Amino acid sequence: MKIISTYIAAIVSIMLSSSLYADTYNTSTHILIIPAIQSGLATYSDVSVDLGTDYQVTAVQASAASDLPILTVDNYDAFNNLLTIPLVSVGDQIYQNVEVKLGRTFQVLSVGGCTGVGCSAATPVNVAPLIVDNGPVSLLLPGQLVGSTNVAFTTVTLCQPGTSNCQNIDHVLVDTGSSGFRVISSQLAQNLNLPAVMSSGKAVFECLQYVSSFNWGSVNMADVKIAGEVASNIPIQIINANSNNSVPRSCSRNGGAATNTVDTFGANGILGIGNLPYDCGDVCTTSPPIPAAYYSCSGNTCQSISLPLAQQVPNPIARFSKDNNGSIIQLPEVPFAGASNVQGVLIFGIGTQSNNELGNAKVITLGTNTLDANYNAFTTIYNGQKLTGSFVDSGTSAYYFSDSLLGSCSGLGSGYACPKSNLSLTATNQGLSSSSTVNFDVANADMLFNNNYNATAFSNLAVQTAPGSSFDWGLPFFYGRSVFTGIQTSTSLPYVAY
Amino acid sequence: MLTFRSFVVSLLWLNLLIIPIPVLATLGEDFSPALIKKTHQLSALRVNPQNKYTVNEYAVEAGTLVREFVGPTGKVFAVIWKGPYIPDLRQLLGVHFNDYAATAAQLSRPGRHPLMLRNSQLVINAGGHLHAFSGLVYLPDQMPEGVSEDELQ
Repeated sequence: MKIISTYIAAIVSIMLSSSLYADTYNTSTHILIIPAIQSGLATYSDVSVDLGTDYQVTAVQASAASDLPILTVDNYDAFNNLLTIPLVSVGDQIYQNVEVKLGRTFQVLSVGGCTGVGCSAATPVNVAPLIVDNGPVSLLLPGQLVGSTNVAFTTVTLCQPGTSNCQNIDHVLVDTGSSGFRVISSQLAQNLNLPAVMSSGKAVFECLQYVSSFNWGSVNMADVKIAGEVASNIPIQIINANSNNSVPRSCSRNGGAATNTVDTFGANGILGIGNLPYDCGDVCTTSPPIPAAYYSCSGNTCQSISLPLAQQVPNPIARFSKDNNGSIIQLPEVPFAGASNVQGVLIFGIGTQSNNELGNAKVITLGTNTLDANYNAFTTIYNGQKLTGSFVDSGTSAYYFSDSLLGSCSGLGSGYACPKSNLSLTATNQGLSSSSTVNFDVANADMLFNNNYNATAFSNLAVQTAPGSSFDWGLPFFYGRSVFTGIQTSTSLPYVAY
Repeated sequence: MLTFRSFVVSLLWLNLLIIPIPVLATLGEDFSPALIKKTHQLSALRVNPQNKYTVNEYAVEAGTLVREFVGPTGKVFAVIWKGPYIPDLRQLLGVHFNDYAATAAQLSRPGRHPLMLRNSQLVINAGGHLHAFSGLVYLPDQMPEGVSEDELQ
């Protein structure tokens, strides 16, 4: 009895403290260094693991034993995200079989070394986890109990350039439709000091317009790290959460909403990994300056400026030291009725490692003339119509296209398409030199949400647009595929491949 | 009185290829020939075959194209844009800008989505992504007889 009550007390005290203490655990970065992990005959040493921000200690057993901590891979239940750590030392205290429920932000960061037979890279350096889940906050929509739908998130580490003063930002939206890393200012730790980009002694700010919203905020330098890749000392945008009064009129002239909070933005940040290497490019380096792009500000007074490429916000992948020519998003098939917490991967580089070859993927090359209908886009042939300006975009949450059969929802699926019956459709995407046919499904969104309102991923969601509109292949297109996004360089045309 | 025919004739006589921006015209308001003067900007004017409307076309930053559709009353009943940047919609949409912004603000899912609205007074269809935006806004109750939405390209 006494032993059991001590056991229970130990569990309670650890759970109440809701943190994991270990000599090799850094509480502020939540990085745990596991001295040894056995996998068959191979022993991996100094495996660094980011427990993320949402783990929970669920069970622990006090012990007097003192031993070299060995964690076998058998002790990690990947399906339930449960890690059982045989030994955790807290000062003089030794705890056995500490069970930790890992949250969505868990990542294996690095592996120190490996000895024995059968060693392999525990985690490839160029792979980051993706999750299609409820998002950072519960985004309550009228009549719905579901949060985010069809948004793929990853975790990005931001550091003060050249230092180890870093912060993990979870639930960063992965967007192949834009370029540049942006983070909501309220999510940054106080002590994360990211130097401001300056122009003629004034701080540089940026307006990044989307169709129906914009991001306004300062441009600052940071090291951006994802999985094992690093973009050193690059400009990023800090979306100013307190900006409502100081947004220049030229920025808000697109009639869009200032999505500068996690709630309105739907994520803690956005990782723009599209086809373009900069969010503006050459046109922002010349005079006269583009009115709604870069600004220099003194207090609340801002003026539009031109800015050299080196100070503009780049596509972070293009600034990795390797694996920097593009990316691949791999997400599993999603069943007809939808799914929750779908996990996939974001792989950096195309054709640079054994895990990122193009293989049989069909390459759809995009146009590069800024005045062309297919600038950074391609033609989708649908129902006999040639829809120029079409594109693939992981940052869009549905198929956006026009078809009189789509109808519109009036129930839980409000805003989405509600065809009278399930549609099995076909379209052909045409690049500069090759084309590829896509079969896809659209279901009645009212019915889908009624039957599975907890789901965070649906492969058959669409939104009706006006006739003749470009086809926007949103995240449903990515389920069950490897979608490659090739970055435009001086020697390589931009492309999408799948 | 400025009839449509004399309006068209006077425009053609002025041999206009040059129209100032941004003091051009606003959705729902008059397109006034008096405002035409020489600038550095190139533009184009075309008259549709049935003479139901004229299209005034000009470029804003980075080659973004704007087209204003002017009806027989001399008022702009539709605007479209296409290109790397979104033009100044406050100027382009005038009093209708607030409806446009209200539609954007009411989008139930966070932001980077096409913007659509359809009612008897105002139709909006705006879409695209970084460096590839396009949009159409028109006033259905000011569309000239026999003109369909499909023509507004």
